[in-house]
Amino acid sequence: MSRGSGGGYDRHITIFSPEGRLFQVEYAFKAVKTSGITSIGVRGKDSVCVVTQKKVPDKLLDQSSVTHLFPITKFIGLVATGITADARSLVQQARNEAAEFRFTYGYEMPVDILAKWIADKSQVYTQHAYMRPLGVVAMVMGVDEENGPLLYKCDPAGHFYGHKATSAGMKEQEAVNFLEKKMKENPAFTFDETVQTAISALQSVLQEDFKATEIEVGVVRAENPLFRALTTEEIDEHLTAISERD
Amino acid sequence: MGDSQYSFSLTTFSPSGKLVQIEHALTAVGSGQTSLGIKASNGVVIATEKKLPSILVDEASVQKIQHLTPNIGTVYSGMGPDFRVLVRKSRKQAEQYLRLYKEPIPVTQLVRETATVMQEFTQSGGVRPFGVSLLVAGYDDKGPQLYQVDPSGSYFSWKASAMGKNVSNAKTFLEKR
Repeated sequence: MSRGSGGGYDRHITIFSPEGRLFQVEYAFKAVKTSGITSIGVRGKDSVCVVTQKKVPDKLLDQSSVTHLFPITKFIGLVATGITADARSLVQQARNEAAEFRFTYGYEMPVDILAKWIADKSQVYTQHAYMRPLGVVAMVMGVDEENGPLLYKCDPAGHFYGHKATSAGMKEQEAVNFLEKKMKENPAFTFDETVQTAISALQSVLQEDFKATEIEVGVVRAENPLFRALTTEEIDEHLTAISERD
Repeated sequence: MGDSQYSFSLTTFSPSGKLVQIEHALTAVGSGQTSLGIKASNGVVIATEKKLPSILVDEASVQKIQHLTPNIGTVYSGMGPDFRVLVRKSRKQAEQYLRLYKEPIPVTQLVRETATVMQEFTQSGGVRPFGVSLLVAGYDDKGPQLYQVDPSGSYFSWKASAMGKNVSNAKTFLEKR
């Protein structure tokens, strides 16, 4: 009957397969999964926390240059899980966009608008053959003036949702299962509880205790809406608090 | 559009005369969440399933039904990101009409312009068709109206319609009524 899979190109560029799927987009998701790290984000009552693994493959590398946590503006942070090069490109464009927004409209770009912009850009790559989708899942976080703390996740397909808690990367499904149990009663976590939920979620899915130097933690709080990464000492405090709790 | 290295259309005719990319797009729509619309004598209703992938998702952040103008709304079945693109383009077209004619855009005009956009993406170089079907519901001087627009760019006016999963059950139900 019909000619089948479009000459086999449906796996090479983003055109539809006979089942109505976009293989390139699905492969981009696979690239995120096989990147080897897992990230977790949790939204509390008045703060947002993201945790990601910090794997430094070579002792000669400058550890401070290996990061997946990027400030986009003073108030918005982004953790990118997936292909690092694609992540840097996305972060650069997001920073530019947020700065232009501030210049054009006179107020800080809200988190959800930035997330939508990232998602719309990703959608363009799924529809135009000349660029492949980026192999990055971006979790954007910040404190919105009207809506409080917000956590958004944007994926290679162009979807974006606000989340109470979410995960991306290698152990995404296990982390989501863990978080669903924790968030089932719609708890309103304090800042410390938010951070510790995120860190213990990562510990649980990786099934190993890690040192403070092996993870990165980024936070925004309503009382101090600047995005910042926690120092190693602060991470240690939380790790200690978790192990004492258990 | 017309990205230089891809100045040939990706949607081409098969030997049997079909445009298979459009057919695949319709398959993508058919595996999307169900939505439907009904036109009444004094209004139109559109509705859709809002099944979120996890309880962790903040359901207030998801809005599948969107305004295009104060008196025209739309819902989709299929790929959410593609829907956002169409909503943005349609809103802009509605605003441009308003600015030019100082009158709100009639429903038929907006549907036609949206459908034209969708058709362009089936013929232009280097792009794939949209993976959504739209239900556009509006109320203007001609009264309540309901249109369905497909990935091919064809549109029809309906008294009632459904799209997405289980569309045959939905349509049977609607036909009986």
